[in-house]
Amino acid sequence: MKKSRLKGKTRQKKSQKFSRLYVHAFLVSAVVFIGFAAYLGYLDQQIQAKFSGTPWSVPARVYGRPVEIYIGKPLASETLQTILTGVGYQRGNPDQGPGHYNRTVDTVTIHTRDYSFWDGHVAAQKITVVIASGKVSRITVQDTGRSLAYFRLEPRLIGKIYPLHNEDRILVPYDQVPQSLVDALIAVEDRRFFSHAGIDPRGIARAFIANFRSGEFVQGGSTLTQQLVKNFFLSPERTIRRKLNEMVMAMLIEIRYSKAEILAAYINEVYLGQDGAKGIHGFGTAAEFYFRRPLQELTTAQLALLAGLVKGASFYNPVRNPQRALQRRNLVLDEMHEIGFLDDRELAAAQTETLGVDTKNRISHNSTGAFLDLVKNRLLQTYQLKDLQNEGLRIFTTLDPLVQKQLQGSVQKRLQILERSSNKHTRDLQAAAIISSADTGEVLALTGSRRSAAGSFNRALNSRRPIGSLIKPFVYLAAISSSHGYHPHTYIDDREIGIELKQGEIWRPGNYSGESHGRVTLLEALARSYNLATVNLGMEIGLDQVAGLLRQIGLERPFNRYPSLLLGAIELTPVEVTQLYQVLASGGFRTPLTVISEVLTRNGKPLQRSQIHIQQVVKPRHVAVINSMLTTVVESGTARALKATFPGTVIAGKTGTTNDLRDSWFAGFGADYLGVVWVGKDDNSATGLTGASGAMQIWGDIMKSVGPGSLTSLSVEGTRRVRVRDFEGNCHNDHTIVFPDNAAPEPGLICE
Amino acid sequence: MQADDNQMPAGPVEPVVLAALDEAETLAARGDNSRAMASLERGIRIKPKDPWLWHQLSVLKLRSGQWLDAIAMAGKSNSLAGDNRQLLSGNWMVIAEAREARGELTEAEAARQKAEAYASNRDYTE
Repeated sequence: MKKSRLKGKTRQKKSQKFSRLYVHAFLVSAVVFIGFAAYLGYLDQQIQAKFSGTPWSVPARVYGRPVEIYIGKPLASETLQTILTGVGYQRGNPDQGPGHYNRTVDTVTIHTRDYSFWDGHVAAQKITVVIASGKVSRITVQDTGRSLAYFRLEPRLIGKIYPLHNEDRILVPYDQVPQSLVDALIAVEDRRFFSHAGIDPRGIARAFIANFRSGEFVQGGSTLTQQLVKNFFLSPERTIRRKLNEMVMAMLIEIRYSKAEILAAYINEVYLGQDGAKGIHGFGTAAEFYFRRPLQELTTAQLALLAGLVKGASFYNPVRNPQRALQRRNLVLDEMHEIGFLDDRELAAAQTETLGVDTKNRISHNSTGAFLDLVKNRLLQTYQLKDLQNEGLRIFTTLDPLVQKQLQGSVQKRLQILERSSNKHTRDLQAAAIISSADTGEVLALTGSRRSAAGSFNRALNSRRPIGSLIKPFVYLAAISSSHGYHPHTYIDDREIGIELKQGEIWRPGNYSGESHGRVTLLEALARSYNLATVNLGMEIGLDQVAGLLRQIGLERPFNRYPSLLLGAIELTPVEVTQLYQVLASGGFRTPLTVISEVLTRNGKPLQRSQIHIQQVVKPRHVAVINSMLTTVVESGTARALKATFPGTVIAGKTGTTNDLRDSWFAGFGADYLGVVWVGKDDNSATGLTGASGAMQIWGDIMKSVGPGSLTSLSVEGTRRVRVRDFEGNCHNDHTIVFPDNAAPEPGLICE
Repeated sequence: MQADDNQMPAGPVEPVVLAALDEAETLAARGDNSRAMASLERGIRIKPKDPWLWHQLSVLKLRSGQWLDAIAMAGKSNSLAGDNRQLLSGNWMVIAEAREARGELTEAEAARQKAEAYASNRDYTE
């Protein structure tokens, strides 16, 4: 009893002790549990934050204009091939799928890609283009036999607007991931991916053995899920704590998300290379970077190459270390074969393929940089920088990649030639040039320096220079459109003149040659760029008339109404000059220069489209008169050296040269294109070049390859066309000049 | 274009122009003016000197109440129409209606008279 009481007491004590222990244990384990739960909750929260919402920032992608192929288009099949190569099409059998084309002498069959344009989605189809005597003569959809009048190829990527941390990424939805890529990743990175729960002890052991056997690092022990965690959340140092976090998070991810979601995240996240300062993330981006093609179009061998890069994008870089990359690719293919993803024949075929890496045709940011700067400037008027950098907007621009390439090439080549000339001043030249569509004002190409890298000084936009004689057509236009009845055969004095300025000084302009020419027609004075005649004309109609016209046609910058304005003592940027000449090139209509045609969201939803906008600012008949006078500049005036370059093509143009040969300008247009070129030096010293010996040479080079289009001689209401003698009085080199209906050409100067 | 062709054909002939006009007509009939204009603009980007495309665009601008654009584009078409009186007449008609809508009655009347003058020389009735 006692004993038992005692025992009972002890038991009581013991049980009290026990229950305290239980309580303690419970409390401790509750704390541990709560702590662990909090820890899990914390990790889980991180995971969800990353997965839901927008896990990736995607830079805006900027495209050039789509190439339109239409019946009647002048086109050589070689040119079409260049265009197709430009958008990453491969020559081969079009039945292989979208992105392939085949070419015979006069027929090109293209398997086009699916593409979302502003005005809708166009499905992939096989299209045959027949070319006869240099023109597209027939376009047929192969499957239906239907003929088309026109179709367009998807535009070429010309640049991107990157976020601050310099990541590049093209997202690929999981349903568009090629099976062979999944196979390759499974084979070399994580064989039990579809059965493990985030971590794979057997995988670690297997990898260890495989690596030991082959004597090199063939397989990693981390699962794809763990690698994703590492990429997403963790710093690269190798500590136990980090490893533990990685394993726990990998398991949490597996609980929360499906294998497909995890794999999709992995495929879009993993680091696969470096493009200058920009990291290449995800297989979509890597496919574009290394092969210039969409991921879906890559061969098994190419996918294996990319999968092989996961292990070490720099070490296995196929551009710098092609031999190493080839070995790695073949090893990946071997592993795929070992599992049974490839049969013997497929393995052999894939292993004999060349690497196929295409770095040659990658469009260099060095050639589109100045244009991209302008695009970004304009976009920032509407969009926030962070949206441009992160939201994956698709920006469609007016840039024609072929014209741009030509422009940059011409500038570089011609400046080198000019600098090799004997003139000691002709060194350290710089240039700016713009090519636009004559009627729509769309900028097709633009450069702001010899090497047009982004961020370098963009002279086309920012460098203001006196425009010299480029002003003259507007002085003459002011006269023609005044109510005083001026016409091309009106006489004007090309004689010494002294104009008293406000300060009491006398301004005495002179001709470039130092001579004066007496009584001359407006036509001759403009064609030969006589300064004295122009000043006399301008003073006769009045500076206000000239200044008023410049305002009317859209010059926005404030300027002084000094008499020297008549000889171009006004500083404008090449872009502003282009805007003024656009009015002439389009026949009297002001068209704002545009660079952006459409903006779409990442998913193809249209946000913005810039419509063609025109406004008549001068009567078309007055512009028709001036333009016909400007064709004589090329036929027998200061730009006559151009005539031989464009036989049979009627073009209008004007040279401009400033004091001491500091600036060399040329502005000119045909029916289709307007081009403005400036050559000069950054320190504003003499170049030794006139408009004709400098800028005009570059203009000629570019337009020769682009084809400016011959100005038409369509009659314009209120005008008539008259054949007149050249400036030597001959009729065998006659000029066709447009006169206002009510004007009487000088009888002695007419050819009939 | 040839150096000496003053005569415009009576109607559009180039396949791409015809196709763009067709497409625009279909879209406009469906009430999708905005895409109809876009398809004419696409045509204009390919063939900027074609007066029919500009004319048709001016008609759509008129229908959607963009009077100034309608006037400018009809004027542009005129400047490219050469001697095609039918087209000139049609453009002046667009200008007349747009001017009238803007309350510019004198200009509207002048434009209407031009339209009629161009139309009467050939048996053209709109």
